[in-house]
Amino acid sequence: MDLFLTGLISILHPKMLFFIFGGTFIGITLGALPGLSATMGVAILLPVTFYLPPEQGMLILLGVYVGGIYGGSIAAILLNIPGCPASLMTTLDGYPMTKKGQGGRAIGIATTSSFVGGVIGVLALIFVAPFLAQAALSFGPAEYAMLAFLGLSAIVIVAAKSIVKGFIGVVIGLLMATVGMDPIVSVPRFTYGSIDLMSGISYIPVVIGLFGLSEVMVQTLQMKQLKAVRQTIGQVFPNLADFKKIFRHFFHPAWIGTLIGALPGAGASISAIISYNRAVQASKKPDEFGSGIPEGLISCETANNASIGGALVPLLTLGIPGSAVTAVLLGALMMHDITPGPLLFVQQPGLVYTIFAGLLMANLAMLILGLAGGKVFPRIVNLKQSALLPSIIVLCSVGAFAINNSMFEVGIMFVCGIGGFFLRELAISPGPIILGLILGPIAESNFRGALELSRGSLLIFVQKPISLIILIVTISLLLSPFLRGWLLKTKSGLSAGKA
Amino acid sequence: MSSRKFRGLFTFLVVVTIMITAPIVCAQKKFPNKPIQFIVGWGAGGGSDLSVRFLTSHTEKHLGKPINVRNMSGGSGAKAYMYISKSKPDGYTIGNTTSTISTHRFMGNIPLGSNDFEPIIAFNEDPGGVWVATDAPWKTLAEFVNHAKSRPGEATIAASNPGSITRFQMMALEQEAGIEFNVLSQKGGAGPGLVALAGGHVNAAMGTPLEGFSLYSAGKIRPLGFMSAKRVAKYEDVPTMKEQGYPLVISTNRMIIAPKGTPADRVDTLYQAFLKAVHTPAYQNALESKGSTWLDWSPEKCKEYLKRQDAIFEKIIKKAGLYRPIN
Repeated sequence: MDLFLTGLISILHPKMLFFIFGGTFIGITLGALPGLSATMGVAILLPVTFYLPPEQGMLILLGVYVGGIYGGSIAAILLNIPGCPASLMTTLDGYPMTKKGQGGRAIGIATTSSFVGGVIGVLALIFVAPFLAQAALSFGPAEYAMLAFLGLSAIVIVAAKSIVKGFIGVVIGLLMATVGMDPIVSVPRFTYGSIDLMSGISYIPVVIGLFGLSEVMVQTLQMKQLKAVRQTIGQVFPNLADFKKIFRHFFHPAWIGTLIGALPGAGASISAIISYNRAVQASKKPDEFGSGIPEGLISCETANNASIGGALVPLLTLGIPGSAVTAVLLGALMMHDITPGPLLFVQQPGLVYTIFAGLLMANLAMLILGLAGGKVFPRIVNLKQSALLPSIIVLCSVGAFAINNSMFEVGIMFVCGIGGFFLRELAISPGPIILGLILGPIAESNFRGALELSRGSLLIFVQKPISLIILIVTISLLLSPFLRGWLLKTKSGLSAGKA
Repeated sequence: MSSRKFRGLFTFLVVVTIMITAPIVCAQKKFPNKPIQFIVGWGAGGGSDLSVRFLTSHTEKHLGKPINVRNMSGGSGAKAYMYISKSKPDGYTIGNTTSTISTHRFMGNIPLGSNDFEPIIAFNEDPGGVWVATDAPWKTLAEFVNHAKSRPGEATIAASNPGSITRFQMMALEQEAGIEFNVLSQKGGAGPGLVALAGGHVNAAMGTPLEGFSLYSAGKIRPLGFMSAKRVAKYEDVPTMKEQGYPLVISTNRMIIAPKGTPADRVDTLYQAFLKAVHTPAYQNALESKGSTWLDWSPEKCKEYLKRQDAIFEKIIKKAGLYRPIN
């Protein structure tokens, strides 16, 4: 506790506060721009930190990380473009709220639940890190495969209107995920001799194309008929009713986010998918999800920010990077001659507690900057469409280019944008496609990996307890719409019988 | 035109002429006179990227010009190799390699091999190794090999997917010891395999001393032997595989390369600058403190090594049935 207080005092120095707020601000900005993700922000700023002491360098990077994961939700809410993959689910309820003219309210709720989730994640990191790390290690190929299937079962929810069209979307995503080197035997699949395709289709240009570009096309067609909904900025700070909602719903998303964040190989996007999935299943009014309700926003925004604290658990306790961002953070630590692991807590407790305190402060910075910005950002939507839509196209192209400094990704973005437009006309929404593309590689390599270990026996998935539990949850999720219908019928049948 | 005006005009012309020609004259004499572009064939924030960024941050002051790192990931470095080989061989475009400089051509991915580039310096290497859980019953590599021998195809080992250096190191061990593992393929380097090992999902995992260092310090895993010529710093009590009777010396070797035909004097200027950076104590400490090894090989030594590395990988790839070279 003394150490934590020392850490807290050390970050209250104006210089440290500047680094945290600066990092968080950069993170929010990068996260909000489509294509520029938290990972990229941390990677871009990494070389800068070579020239700073490790504490200060880490504080900037952590600020970028926290801000980046949150910032993605701003574009998701206001423009229906997930600023980064973690905010994919945020579009589902966030954008409908903007359509109703409640963009400011949505940002307020997203910011507050991100803060709540973020803080809980950090508290878990501080108090139960060793336990979480052990839990994370118990996930092997079989468990990851089942987790990916659980995530894929979310289509039942993402595609609430038509399960068949949801399946079509997921299959398109899964097929796109097969392009590139085979994960087990390293044979090029569907690359047609292209070196660019050898490393597969990365999901960021696909997200930008499917959501950003095709949205612009849809809106262009409707421009004459529709008048843009004016955003009532009003109060960004959540009102009492919204606060109560956050208070009632933060718990499950927070632990799901922390736990999944702690799994190496899962991360912010998957925790948001699974948390949203759970929220719909547990809700008494599942049909309202997707129509722009705060509960939907709370479930994914709390979870994806809680995953940050979780992701730092294996990094700091075992030196294992659980995600792309933490891999860069590991590099940053190593460049400063610091090896994360249990010894870090013994050898450099000062640094560890500065990181803890810095993370809490970064979440506070995110809350302040987010709520302050919530008054400004929604004005974007009030811009003339003739100015807004072309700017989005420019942003999409720049974002796609920035991923790898190559025109190839820009090409993918345009192909997906145009393809996505026609799919939308067929009422196939982009969400399930992205779901398939993100989860496909995880499902494939782990499913096949588990079968390699079991020498082809499917029993491995029921013999391992964690895998079995996730399998049961998945099956019950998939059956629940039918079960609910059946229950309602029998109930009404019973009451009819009584009468 | 008055003589005063004429003098003014003349001075002006002389100044302009000098200003225009000076950079050209200097350019012929002095290299480098503009920033160097460094192509990293792997993503920002990964191991190859970090090792380069850290090294170049120490090199710039010796070179006198900035080194701009540009990431161009795709096909395990293949895209960057193509780009570098097509760049102007003037020393202003350079890049980094891993062992993929030897493997890509043999496996038919790109028609480029180690002969298509000019090595500048080898700055870091990490030997392969076999790891088991800390509480595993096998104390030496021989004990584990015997276990695998008595149950063919049953002993599980995690290694990166085929085509990666980690996988070739595992295959070399299989071929040397006459055993066959049940392999868990993992994408994205040796890291995930070592995590699977720490979680008890496999019997063993392949990985370099650097990759295993965190989990080793955490007391979760321990090495049975490394594929290095001599023992690795920080692991002085771990015998090499050679010492244990398996003469395997295979490392991930990181070099800096320039396009074929880059003038020798420019290669030398770059080599001298990188050499000074490699000899910085901060650079050496950062590598050694976590079980990695720094190198300071000259271009000639690099060329010799690449020849040997080509031969080793050609043999392993042929035996594995993956040999389909493009020329």
